[in-house]
Amino acid sequence: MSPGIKRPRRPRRLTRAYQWFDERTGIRRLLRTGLYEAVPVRGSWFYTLGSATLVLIILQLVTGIFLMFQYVPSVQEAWQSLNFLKQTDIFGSWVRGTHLWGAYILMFVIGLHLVRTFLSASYKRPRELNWITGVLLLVLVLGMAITGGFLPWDQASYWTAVVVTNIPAYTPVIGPFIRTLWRGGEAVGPITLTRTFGIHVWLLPSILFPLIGAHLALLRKHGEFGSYVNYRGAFRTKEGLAIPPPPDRLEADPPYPAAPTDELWSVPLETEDFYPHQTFKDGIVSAVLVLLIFALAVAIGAPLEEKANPAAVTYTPVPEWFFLPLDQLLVLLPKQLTVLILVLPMAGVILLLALPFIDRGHERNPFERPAIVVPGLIIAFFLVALTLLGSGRLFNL
Amino acid sequence: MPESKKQMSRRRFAVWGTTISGALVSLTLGIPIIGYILSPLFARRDTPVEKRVGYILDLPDGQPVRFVVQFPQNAWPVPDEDHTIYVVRHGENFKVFSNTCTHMQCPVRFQKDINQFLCPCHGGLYDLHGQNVGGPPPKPLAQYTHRIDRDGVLYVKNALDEEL
Repeated sequence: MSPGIKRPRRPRRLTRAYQWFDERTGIRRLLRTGLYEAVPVRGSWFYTLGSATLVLIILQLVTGIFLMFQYVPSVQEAWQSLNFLKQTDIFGSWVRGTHLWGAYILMFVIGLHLVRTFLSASYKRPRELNWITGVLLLVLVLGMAITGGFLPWDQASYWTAVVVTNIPAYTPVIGPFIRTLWRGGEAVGPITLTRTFGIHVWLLPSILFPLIGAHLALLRKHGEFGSYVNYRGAFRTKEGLAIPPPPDRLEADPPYPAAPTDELWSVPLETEDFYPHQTFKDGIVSAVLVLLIFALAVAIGAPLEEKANPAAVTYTPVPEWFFLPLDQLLVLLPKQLTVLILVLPMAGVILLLALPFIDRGHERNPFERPAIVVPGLIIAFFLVALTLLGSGRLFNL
Repeated sequence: MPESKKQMSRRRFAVWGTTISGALVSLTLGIPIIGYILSPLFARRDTPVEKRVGYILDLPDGQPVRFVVQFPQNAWPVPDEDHTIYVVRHGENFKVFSNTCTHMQCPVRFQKDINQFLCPCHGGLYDLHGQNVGGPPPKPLAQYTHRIDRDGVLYVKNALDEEL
């Protein structure tokens, strides 16, 4: 093209279209608020875990939607529909593999996200509800993992369904009723599958996604706390740089980044724009995870065992790896204490929910909070130990 | 316009109207949905079905033998489901055990090497009388209601002597 030629019109038309759209929707302002938030610089690779969790949940939503193009939630046809997929449709098998491995990696990443938030004490005032919504999301994701495991209706699914629906039966008084409600009858059968399918694809997601919205809205309201390293030695306030008084003379409430109108508004020492600096790191981590999931989906795929057979006596049911601690407890607990299988996980969830109200001091450095961090590590140690104890079963040792 | 205390203000009326409309909608939706979810609790139990198992008078003494029986499932007409039953002969007495573990309902199987029933999930053990003798199971194995006709043929009903 010679330099004398007029600039092409197309961009201007696009710009005009954008302006037209913006005038009616306010999209420009929405994007600006969404993209240009000041986030901490130091430690920000650790803060990619939250966005990775979100990306993996969306991955589950997308692959889940497309699995429904073929899957039939019926004891007669669930297994056949997936077996047909496996036999005849390589891409469909990859989609199913991605859904399974995505779930596995999601459980792992959501655990790391929890550990990171725990260690950096990001749950302290005013972010208690960020933490609580996060704990509820963890419970819901676990619920998705349990219910999803029922759906293929192969041997693994069937016996998982039997054992898992039987666990609530140990609740005092109402236990057997809960089991009957979940199963849709006394025994695991056709209604167990349809009910669990409904829970998996509509009931839990319809709570999960609004709760993710609340989790993110709270994150944006209070800003990313990051970690104490971002405030060490000094912090920036509306008035300028401030040096905190010695710890014994600290005021009751430490400075924290909250809404700009807040009296105590401060930001971490070094910040950068969410876009493109944090999104770059978020993008890299998420992309690596998604590629890893896809590689596992192609290389290993999602297993489909023999069709469910309630009369089997040679099949050894094995739990999913993330239920190994619970399953190992079932092996170890004496029969008088089986009810602990319900009590311990519930106590765990209640402890997690109560954490922001137990650990209320202004200390955020994990090395200065031994009363909180050490018990946390002990619980984590027991979970890992139970998993290792039970892991022999994964390979039928 | 001053209002007397007894008269409801326009605003208050609207507040009540909104609340009552919302409550009505919730109730109208809630009653059928909750009833629908709870319906398995009130479902009429099907009368037990009796199935022919086979001739059993030649079974070895004190040695469990596995049979597969088909019982209906708890829903609309779908093909019957296979169930494992273990028949143990103790002299003149026959016991017909369900192979559902009383701990977590895993499939119990007879292990010849230890001469016991073993649950592979959490290591529950039962002896040849169905007694829970090891591991976490809280109760003995359940037994099926059954009869043996005069030709020595065993018939089993899908009814157990105790709740699982």
